[in-house]
Amino acid sequence: MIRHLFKLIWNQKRKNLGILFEILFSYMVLFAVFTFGFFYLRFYLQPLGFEYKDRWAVFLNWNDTPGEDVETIQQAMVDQLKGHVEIERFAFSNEVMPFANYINFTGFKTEEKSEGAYVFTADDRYFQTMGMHLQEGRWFEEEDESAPVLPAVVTRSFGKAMFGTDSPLGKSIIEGDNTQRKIIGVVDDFRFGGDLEGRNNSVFLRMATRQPAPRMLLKVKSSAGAAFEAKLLKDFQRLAPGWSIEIKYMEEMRRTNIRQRLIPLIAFGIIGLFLVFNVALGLFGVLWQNIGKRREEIGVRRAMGSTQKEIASQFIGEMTVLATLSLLLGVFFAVQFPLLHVFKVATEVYIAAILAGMLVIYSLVFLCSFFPSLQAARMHPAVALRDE
Amino acid sequence: MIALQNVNKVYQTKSIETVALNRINLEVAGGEFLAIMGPSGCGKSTLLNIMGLLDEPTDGAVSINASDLKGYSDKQLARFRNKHIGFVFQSYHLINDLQVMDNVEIPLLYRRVSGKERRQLAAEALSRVGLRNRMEHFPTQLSGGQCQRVAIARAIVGQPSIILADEPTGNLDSVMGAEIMEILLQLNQENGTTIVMVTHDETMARQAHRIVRLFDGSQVM
Ligand SMILES: Nc1ncnc2c1ncn2[C@@H]1O[C@H](COP(=O)(O)OP(=O)(O)OP(=O)(O)O)[C@@H](O)[C@H]1O
Ligand SMILES: [Mg+2]
Repeated sequence: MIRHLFKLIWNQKRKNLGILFEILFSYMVLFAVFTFGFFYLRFYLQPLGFEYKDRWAVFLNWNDTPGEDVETIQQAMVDQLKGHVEIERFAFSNEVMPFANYINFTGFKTEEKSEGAYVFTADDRYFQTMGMHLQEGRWFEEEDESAPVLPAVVTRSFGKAMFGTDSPLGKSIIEGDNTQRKIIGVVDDFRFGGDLEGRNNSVFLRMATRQPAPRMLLKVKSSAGAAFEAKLLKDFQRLAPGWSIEIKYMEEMRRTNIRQRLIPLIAFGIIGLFLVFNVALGLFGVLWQNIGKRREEIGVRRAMGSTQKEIASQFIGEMTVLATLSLLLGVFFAVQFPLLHVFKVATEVYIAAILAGMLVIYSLVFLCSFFPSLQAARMHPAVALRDE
Repeated sequence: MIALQNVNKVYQTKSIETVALNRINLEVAGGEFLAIMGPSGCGKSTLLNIMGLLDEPTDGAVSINASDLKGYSDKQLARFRNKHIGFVFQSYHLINDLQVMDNVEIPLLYRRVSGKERRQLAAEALSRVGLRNRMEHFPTQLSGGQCQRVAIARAIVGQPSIILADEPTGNLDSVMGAEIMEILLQLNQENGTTIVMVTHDETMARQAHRIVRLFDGSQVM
């Protein structure tokens, strides 16, 4: 029967070639959509390297307050924070922080190698406040203030990129052109770009004690809400009347970050699915028309002893064979991406996209051919055979 | 062999009711060559379709080879047709997308017959109608008479005991029509195949053992 199907398909190659290319086109679109989808899904499923729940970011804009005064005011703020039971931890950093629009990218080098990295300036309490994870060594401490060589904490990815399998602990790196840093700790990758961005090389530098800081990070009790936020803001405003101060929930910042990155992705997905939907509709139309055109054939087969089931299976079978031919071609094109490493996308993402695309195509073809085939099977043989 | 008892067929469309067959009682004996005649629209094709299990009577009973076919499922009817009945139609009804060979094989596809055996049986059937050398042709490359011979090969490839032919020579000139008639007579005489043939041609009908005449759905002779 399969041979018979192949012959039917082959002898109708002109018409079937059109269907074949339609399916192929749909598959390639689906492959692209799934690749993007899985690419970002994979990021989404990986740990961020820090916590955002119950974390608040306080944006401090000193305006034209002189440096010494900033220091005094911030000390007063710290004293006030210590008085609130809602505040479990707090820390200071510069503008470069997760979900923010600031980045600081700098080159680092050893004698053998140089690597770029995102640089964060964070104080001694930052690690615990942000719920980060240590791989080796330690985070900054008060005594680092007087260390002869400035300390640095690096992420695992940075350590790997720079030192391969060697432990980065105790190694020296040169920041930019001249500043020497000694690595005292390695932390889990810190995906400050959010859930939909991959790992990066990052380096943390120590913020000096009492250094004026434009960002304050708070770890609050889960019960702390808008009322406490308003109170805190008011207290801060009283301490620093000339400053512009804003409190943002990091959970909210994360949501905004995801939304912003998702919009183009969703747009692309919708366009893709729209294209595929159109092809499916076309396919359905062609098959439906086919049944009409092949009325005589259906009648003959029924007269010669085909059951209704066999008629339906034949039509669905023809489409399945066609879909398989299209998919062979489609998969051949699709596997070139992982084989040739065209983009920086993990092989398993491609494989998942290849399989998901096949699944959708087979389901779609089955759906599109099911009702026309059922219609064909239900055609009354005497009616199908009547001469026009 | 074929027995119709009080067979009525009524076509019900929205507003009109057409009585295509009116209380037909008919028996066709095994090995008989029966011709059915009658004016256009009198119900000949309807009668043949009912005999061939392609259509069901509105009421009345049909039995073939002593099997009462009432209550048969679609699958049982299909298998029964496949095994016992061969069809030949006025307009051949060949599948144009398939070569002659593959057209002839079709009845065997619905039995469990191996590809090799199918080839062989199809070739034999085509030899019987003198078209062994046209196996690779497509129906569109054949004359009308040749097409009808292919259709006959397809009807006999499964060696059915009954052949139902609905105006098999209706589209052919007299020479080709006579050729087809010759083949059918030969099948009837040499293989004992029961043949029921609808025709408008009096001289052909006279070559059959018996003629049944229909008029407006009723048997008149
Ligand atoms: N599916 C149908 N629905 C409604 N009426 C039908 C149907 N099939 C046949 N008829 C009617 O039944 C009657 C008998 O039709 P049938 O095809 O059996 O005639 P026929 O004797 O074979 O005619 P012809 O010699 O032209 O082939 C006709 O009046 C026809 O219009
Ligand atoms: Mg007729």
